[in-house]
Amino acid sequence: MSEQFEEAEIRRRLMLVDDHPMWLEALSGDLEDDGFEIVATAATGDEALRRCRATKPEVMLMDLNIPAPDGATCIEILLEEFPEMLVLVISASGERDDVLRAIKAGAKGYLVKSASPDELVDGVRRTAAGDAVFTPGLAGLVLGEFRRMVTRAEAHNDTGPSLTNREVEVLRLVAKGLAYREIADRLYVSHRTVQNHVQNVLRKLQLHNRVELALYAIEQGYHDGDPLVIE
Amino acid sequence: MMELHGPLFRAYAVLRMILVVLAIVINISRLGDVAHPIVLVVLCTLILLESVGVSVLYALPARRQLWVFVVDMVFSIGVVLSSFWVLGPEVTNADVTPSVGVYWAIGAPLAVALWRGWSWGGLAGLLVMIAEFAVSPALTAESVVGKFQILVACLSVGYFTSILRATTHEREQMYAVAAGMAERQRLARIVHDGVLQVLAMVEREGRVLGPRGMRLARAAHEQEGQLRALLQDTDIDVTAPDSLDVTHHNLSVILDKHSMPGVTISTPAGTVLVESSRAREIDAAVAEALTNVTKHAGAQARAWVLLEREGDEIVISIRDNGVGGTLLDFGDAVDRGRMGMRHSIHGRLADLGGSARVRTAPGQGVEWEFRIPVDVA
Repeated sequence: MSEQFEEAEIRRRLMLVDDHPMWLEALSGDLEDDGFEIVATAATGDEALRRCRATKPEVMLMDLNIPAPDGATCIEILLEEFPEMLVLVISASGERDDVLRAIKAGAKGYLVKSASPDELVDGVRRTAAGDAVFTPGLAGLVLGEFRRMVTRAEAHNDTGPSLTNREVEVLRLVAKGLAYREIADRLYVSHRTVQNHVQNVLRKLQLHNRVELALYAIEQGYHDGDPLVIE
Repeated sequence: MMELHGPLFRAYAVLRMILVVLAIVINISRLGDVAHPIVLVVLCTLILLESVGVSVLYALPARRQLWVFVVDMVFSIGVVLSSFWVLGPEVTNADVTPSVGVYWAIGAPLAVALWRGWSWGGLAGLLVMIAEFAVSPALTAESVVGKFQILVACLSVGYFTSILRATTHEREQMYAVAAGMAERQRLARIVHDGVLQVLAMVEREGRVLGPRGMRLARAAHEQEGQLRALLQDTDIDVTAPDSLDVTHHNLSVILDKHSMPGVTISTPAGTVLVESSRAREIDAAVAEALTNVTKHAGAQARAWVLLEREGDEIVISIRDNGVGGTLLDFGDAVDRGRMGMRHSIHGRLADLGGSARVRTAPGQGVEWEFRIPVDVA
């Protein structure tokens, strides 16, 4: 069976944000060996914002625990300015709320720092190709977040964002540690279909986040006169 | 410690001025009846000046010293005793509030009560009461009650001050503890994050340094997993309303402790509160399932645990990618009481009113699904 691979779409201009010089060095080396061009590195939130605006990388690898503003906040700001940028989050301690905030702001995925160098490089490669990088931990987190949003919407007699049965099924299998290929086999669908489901879940979460932010802004009284931009 | 006495003595100054005004008004009204009206006018002026003076001193924490209270007490008792001569027997015998200060003399012992609580306040009140009795010993009900009010007022004000001081002290200690915890958590998070980074680095670089490096990498990986679990565990939110709730536990935190190399735990953000004894049972069932993975799934097997909340039900999935088996094997295991299934997993879940389903095939690993009803917290 021949898989269709769209190699051309892969982006290569990369920026790394991490406050540990050792890490920056090691990761830079690995990623350069893999053919990425490191256009900038940053060790603090301020540097990240400044250098990202200056170099406009296509892909960004962001550590969440950096000197202020923290990683999640930087992602929120930068994706507002550069919605096309592909962001992969890495973090040592993995504070759930920060990870969720980064993902809602539009990050493509999340890896813990203890992932092996191969996993990290693979994660960056997949992010650069525009795919979502879902670890089991992130899948569990996102599943829980959708349940929370649905419960809250029901409490307000509202219809919240919901996942299709298939999307829940795929997400649960990811959370239980199955690789996309294994999920595809189990559900009798293609590898690409599984990937689309995962991508859709992320898109829904991010879209809902934007709607929520807009509603919040309206409630706070930005409705008269002020322009309100929803993409 | 917060200046508890500040607001109390400011209110006291107002009260004291009211007492002074009352004394002046009453004394002016009886000026024609007293033995030495000019001395009375001088005394009223002194009362006014002294009251302003001590009120100012009481209001300043640094000036609130024993001598001020002693001077105030001596002056007050002196004024009361002077009533004999200044007012003359005609007034002191006839009036219910016969002393020169009228009710003003209660001011000094009240200050002592505010300052040192009920015992000192009571003693000071007693002294002023005795002085009042000395001036007009008539034992009519009205006059006796009037004088006892001094003692009662000083005792109760003193008592309330003591209680207020104790609660304020307790509350401040709690604030200090909470602030300390929050600060410790903040520092711990920074330290832990640094340690995690270094451990991850050791793990990463160790792998390429030969067999000894591999061992180092493995050790670092294990420590890293444990530290991360510990970090989640110590994240007590001191501002949350239920941070001191010992009757419920956050199942996410409990299950996170099983996280280690080869075992991935996925939980939702936020808390999944479960009644403590049920949480322990659920944890034990999960531990049992993971022990089975270690024992029977093979050395290369990895395991994943997923915690979900579906309405009033908790769903826990435990999957491994080990050697698996046939359901017949599992039936055998149950019959022989092996693998702790009858007594641990199925038994525990039945006790919790839940269910445990298992799915396996040779080479396909084992997959458990626990469903446990919980109260919606």
